[in-house]
Amino acid sequence: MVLATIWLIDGVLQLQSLFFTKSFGLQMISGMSQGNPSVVARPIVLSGTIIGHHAVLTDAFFAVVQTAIAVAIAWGPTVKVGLTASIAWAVGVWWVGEGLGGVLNGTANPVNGAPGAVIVYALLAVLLWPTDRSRQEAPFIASRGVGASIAKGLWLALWGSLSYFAVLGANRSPQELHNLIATEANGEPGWVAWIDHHAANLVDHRGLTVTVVLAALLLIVAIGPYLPASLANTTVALGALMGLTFWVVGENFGALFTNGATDVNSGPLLILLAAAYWRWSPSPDSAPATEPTLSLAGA
Amino acid sequence: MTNPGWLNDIFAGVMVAIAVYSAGRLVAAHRWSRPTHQDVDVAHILMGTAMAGMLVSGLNPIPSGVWEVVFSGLAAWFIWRCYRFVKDPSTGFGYDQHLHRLSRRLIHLVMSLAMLYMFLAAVPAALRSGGSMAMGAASGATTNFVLLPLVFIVSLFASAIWELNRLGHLSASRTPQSQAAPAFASVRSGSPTSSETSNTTGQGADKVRSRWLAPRLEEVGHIVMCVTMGYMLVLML
Repeated sequence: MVLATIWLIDGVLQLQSLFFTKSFGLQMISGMSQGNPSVVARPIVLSGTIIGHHAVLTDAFFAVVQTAIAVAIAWGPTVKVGLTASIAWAVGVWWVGEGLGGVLNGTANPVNGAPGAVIVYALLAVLLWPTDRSRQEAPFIASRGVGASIAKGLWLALWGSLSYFAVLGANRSPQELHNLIATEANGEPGWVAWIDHHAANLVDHRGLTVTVVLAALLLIVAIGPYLPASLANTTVALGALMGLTFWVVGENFGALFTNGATDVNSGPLLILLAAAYWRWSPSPDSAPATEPTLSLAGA
Repeated sequence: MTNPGWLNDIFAGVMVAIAVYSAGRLVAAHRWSRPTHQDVDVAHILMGTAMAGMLVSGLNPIPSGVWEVVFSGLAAWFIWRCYRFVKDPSTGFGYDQHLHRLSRRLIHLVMSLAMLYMFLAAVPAALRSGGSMAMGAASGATTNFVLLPLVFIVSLFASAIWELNRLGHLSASRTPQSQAAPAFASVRSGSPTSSETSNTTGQGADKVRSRWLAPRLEEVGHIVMCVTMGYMLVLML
């Protein structure tokens, strides 16, 4: 249900006035092509042009699709259809709407949401796929859909990549993190800008040190599921805390207050993901869970 | 920048339909002696009418100052309902029913407060723009309270999804009456009925549930109302 709620928020965010204008397609979408290889950039520019010239129609379509995904996931009988659509739509948006999250053009930074919130939607849809694995077979909810070893591998790949992106290229420079956070303050309400300015001052001229520490912490989170249960839960909690920190400082609550947000950004998704990897104590009642996805979502 | 007029018209039309339907529920429940959530239906009438008026200024039947008083009163009513339920939840129900019945009042309290927020935040902007109540982003001091509408939005959408999920289970189970009985067993005339304090399991529950007035339609109305209110709050972020 949490995933469905986030999709519903995204669907309604798509109805903001900015997205019914040409600038959404011609500037926001097409702008995602910058720095990407031509094979990636061309479809983005083409899509941006089409969206820009049919802004009202395409934006209304996007809103309907995302709302329909939310409804399908929440409506019990169509949950698998909803999750399948969630994966397909997320991959498409990751390419066209987010330019593959800056992964290929060297601008990815986990602090402001890289490698893209929407790819975490797809990951969650895979992990939350409804199955009849019992609690004994699946030590945490994310392992019910694909099994524990694959789920751990996906967690390692995601958080490991976040660790890598943290120290990628310009992110290591002394001022990059400061500049990134300070720039985010533009257009935000006063108290959000205040948080940004103070956070930016904290990391001023300390970019390299902070990013190395950040990368180390992200790496610890990445290997967390391979540790014993109590340590694994500690690292998962650390992951959720980092997701929350990114959401508040680097992502400015998904830039929801700027009237230009298309989604809630990665912070809440990382927290939801962490919840799906939380290991519970073995239950004396080992009866199979009948609706794993929905029971997670309802948690 | 403003949203397309047709979009606001659609949402306003839906709100008018929900308000009319909720009024119809009250009349039907009275004529056919069927139980319904009277306070919820009244809340839906008021909220549907007010939201339609905010979306399309020509549909606003009364001044915004009056709406503020109305929704303050409605919020106070649901606070009172929550208080009474917390104070005396021992009506023979299990935990699930307890949770649902409290959450039902809580979400309508949240909706009342969200309506109040929208009027308080929108009116200064409307005055500046010549009195129109058309929706727009909050400005001035209200921009410092944007976390509040965000909390409202998340609560409303979570409620909509939760109710939708319940509807899906009811549909899939093909035994809606026995499963849904506790969830809908609630209030009549603002106080617990005999059906609320007894006959809530087995045959008794089936009987109560089967008499309840179109509970799924009531839920659908609630879901649509939550989404519309969330849409309006998003425009005010």
